[in-house]
Amino acid sequence: MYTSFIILSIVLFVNNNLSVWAKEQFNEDLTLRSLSDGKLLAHFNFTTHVDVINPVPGASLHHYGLFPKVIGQVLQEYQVREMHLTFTQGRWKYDEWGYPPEQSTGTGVELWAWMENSTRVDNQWKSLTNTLSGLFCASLNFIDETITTEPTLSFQSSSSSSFEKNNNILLRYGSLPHESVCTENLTPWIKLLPCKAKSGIAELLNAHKIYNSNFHSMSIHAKSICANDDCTRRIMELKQTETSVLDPVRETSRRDWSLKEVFDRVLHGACPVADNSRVHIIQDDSNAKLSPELNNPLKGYDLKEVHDELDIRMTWSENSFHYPLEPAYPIISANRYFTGYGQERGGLEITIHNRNDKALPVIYYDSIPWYLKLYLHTLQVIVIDEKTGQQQLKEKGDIIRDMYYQPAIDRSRPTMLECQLLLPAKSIVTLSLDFDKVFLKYTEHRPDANRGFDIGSAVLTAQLPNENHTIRVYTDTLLVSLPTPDFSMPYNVITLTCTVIALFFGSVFNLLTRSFQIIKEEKEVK
Amino acid sequence: MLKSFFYTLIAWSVLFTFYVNGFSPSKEEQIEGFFSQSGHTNNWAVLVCTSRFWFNYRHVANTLSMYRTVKRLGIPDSNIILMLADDVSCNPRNKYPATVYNNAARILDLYGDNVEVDYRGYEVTVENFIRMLTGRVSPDTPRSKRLLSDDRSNVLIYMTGHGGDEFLKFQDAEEISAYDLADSFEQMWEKKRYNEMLFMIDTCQANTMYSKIYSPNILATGSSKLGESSYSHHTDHDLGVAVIDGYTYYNLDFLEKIDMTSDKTLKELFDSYDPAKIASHPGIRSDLFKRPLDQVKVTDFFGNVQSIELTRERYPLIGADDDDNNEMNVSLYKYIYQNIIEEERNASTLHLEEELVEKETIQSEQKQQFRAFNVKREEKSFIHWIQSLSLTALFGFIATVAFGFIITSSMSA
Repeated sequence: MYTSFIILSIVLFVNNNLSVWAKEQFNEDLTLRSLSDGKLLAHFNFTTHVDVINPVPGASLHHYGLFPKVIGQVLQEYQVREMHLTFTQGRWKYDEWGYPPEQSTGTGVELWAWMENSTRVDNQWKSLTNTLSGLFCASLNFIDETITTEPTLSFQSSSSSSFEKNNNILLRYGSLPHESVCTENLTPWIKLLPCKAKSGIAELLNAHKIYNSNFHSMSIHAKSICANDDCTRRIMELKQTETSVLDPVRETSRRDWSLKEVFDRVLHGACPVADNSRVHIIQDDSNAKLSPELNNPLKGYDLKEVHDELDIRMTWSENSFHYPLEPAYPIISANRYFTGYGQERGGLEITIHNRNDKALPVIYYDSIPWYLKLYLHTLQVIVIDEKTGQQQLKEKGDIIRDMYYQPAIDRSRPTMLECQLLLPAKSIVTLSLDFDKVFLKYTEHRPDANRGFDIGSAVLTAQLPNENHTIRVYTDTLLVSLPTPDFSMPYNVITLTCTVIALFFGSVFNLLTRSFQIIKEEKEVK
Repeated sequence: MLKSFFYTLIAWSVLFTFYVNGFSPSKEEQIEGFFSQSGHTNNWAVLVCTSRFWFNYRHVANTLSMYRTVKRLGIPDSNIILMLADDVSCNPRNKYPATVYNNAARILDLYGDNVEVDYRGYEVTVENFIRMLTGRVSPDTPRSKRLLSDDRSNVLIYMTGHGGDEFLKFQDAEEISAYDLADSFEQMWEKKRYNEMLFMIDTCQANTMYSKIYSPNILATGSSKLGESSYSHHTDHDLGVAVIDGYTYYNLDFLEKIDMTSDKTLKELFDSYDPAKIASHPGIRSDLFKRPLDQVKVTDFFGNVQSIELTRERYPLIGADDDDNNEMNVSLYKYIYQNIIEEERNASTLHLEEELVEKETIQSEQKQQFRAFNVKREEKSFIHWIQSLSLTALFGFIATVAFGFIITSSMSA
């Protein structure tokens, strides 16, 4: 009897060590912050973390618990190390709101992924965009080779695992500035959460309120990385964030807010599978009164202790809200715009403000579609010193330390311009380029051709002083009107030509072949 | 006299028994009645809105109303292909963001919280539509964008937008003609991609769009005939646009009163069309459709209803291991399967760890699966047949005997 017991325990011990073991963790938190211009910034953050130990090296995960199976399978099928997908509508006002909690604020859809290096990378990127388009009900399949770029300096992989061989992964970036975001994109995003929208912080995600805001951005950051050399330990992480800037002043002309008024919902407790579920309130203004009271402002409200209802309310004792006159400028901000006039040529300018005391290196990334032909030799750098207001045309080498330029190939790939700039202290640097507009074939225009074409945001990557992470600053998207033909002209030409030919041919044929003969009429006999 | 009496008695009783037996349905007929008359096993819906721009709000509302109806009557999102050419619910001009209404009273939000739009914006093109219908999509196309119907699927195709004589305009840039549509349906028929199809179209001069269809089992209906325009029903003055078209409004009027258990037929739906109210003459084309319209249920196309019939008899279940009849004994299969696995394992050279893992998984699967039951089969014996004869049969038999006796006695008398 004892021998069988010993054998059984050995068998179980061996089983435990040799089977696949996965540890899953889910955390959720909400950060609410009242901005200086009376708006409310709500940032939802859901993180699912899986630590898989698999005896077979390099094997993929097959058992899914909290981690959504669709994302896990997508990452493993297309050999994606890291994927970032963001859906944004609205403009993030850097001048008034500072830097966002989540970096990607370019309007439309932005997708970038670090993928394993292989000969099939481009096919896998295409499959990835198509699969994600089906998953999120967005037309991500339009991110094809005419939009995709491979940035070299920007969008570095955030995984700092030294075991991954970083020269074996490739970056692909694509963005669709004109993609709309609506409930059909939010619904599959919510379905990736373990508790969906039934409990926890995700209960507040009311589409009718979120899509009624000044800015909203919803993103998925997924990672699948090996944690040791032979890849028997794998870490998979899914971070879902939703950032909204809501405007209580628009409804009531007061900046008082409560969860019930802003989201039309209240919190009923934590998600049962969450390890941590918290609501943090960042209070910048000491005049504001927060209810219910917070014992520890750093820790916020713990939803695990809430059993019936939690409605957070912040009130001010003023009569109505007065907008602040002075915006709070951030250290780095950028502004990109078109110059010139007409439908033949134009110019592109980007103005970068550096309000720091010291010179700051910044990486500027821009991707222009092929139908704007940029001329790199017209690149000019102008620096305006903030103190003196003096403007000088600088030698390119002074400001531009490094440049990667990919010229466009018609209907095949876009222009990509990446510069490493050293911005002087307290200055405004302007880069300008000229371009020609291409006359497109009439089938290449969109159905609403007179609207024009959208150009995706430029991205500035910088490491701010006193911060240990890089930030990305996005410029606005631009709208360019290319020479648009009159689409009724083919019909007009066909009709006119056919009429002319019918008349001309008909008349000439008649003239040539018709002959008149005299017919004698017989007189009737009376 | 006695001989003739007996002959008559036997003849009458035999005839009567056969006659009475014909009334109680045999097992085969009972099972046949379980499946619906049309022979379809699943339902698909393809809902297309082809118009772009804010002022075509009503076309998006039409399509979303049909989406809501079809979902309410049971067709899941995986079987619905929804194509919306423009986004009106999150359009900056929409006073009520993330909502679409089909009525100025604004009681019902069609967009809701759980909408799945498969093709949107610039993806709604004639090429994508025809590729989706015929199944000739690129290999990367995700599953939600494919029409995965088979030869037992009833497909509902609803299209709305701006159209004319034998054409339908897609997004202000291209057109699909009635011939293209007819050829696509013929390809679908040849590839066995539908069992029966209901084609519904709400545009100006809509009846011309289905005039060229030549494939079997297609029922078509349109909102207006050649030379007539279709009109919107009413405007919401807060939104500033018309919110629903007349033809679709009256269709919904009928369909909103239906639920999954309804028995209403398509004939009743088509009879409810009033050209005076709709302001145009809707048409119906049923020459290619085999079944008569008063036998086609509305839920055959608009819902996903499985026909359920209750039986009078109970089916007793016995434990699989108690069943002596070995051909259906599940535990016997389990035993055979285990033996096969044992043999394979002994023959190959597996590592110890993998064996243990496999053994563990097999054991856990066995624990989950094998709680099986068999249906107790009836023993076919004469006594059971006698017992199964219904009361009417017995009464009829006695009545025949008595009647025969009376007749023969009166004849011989």
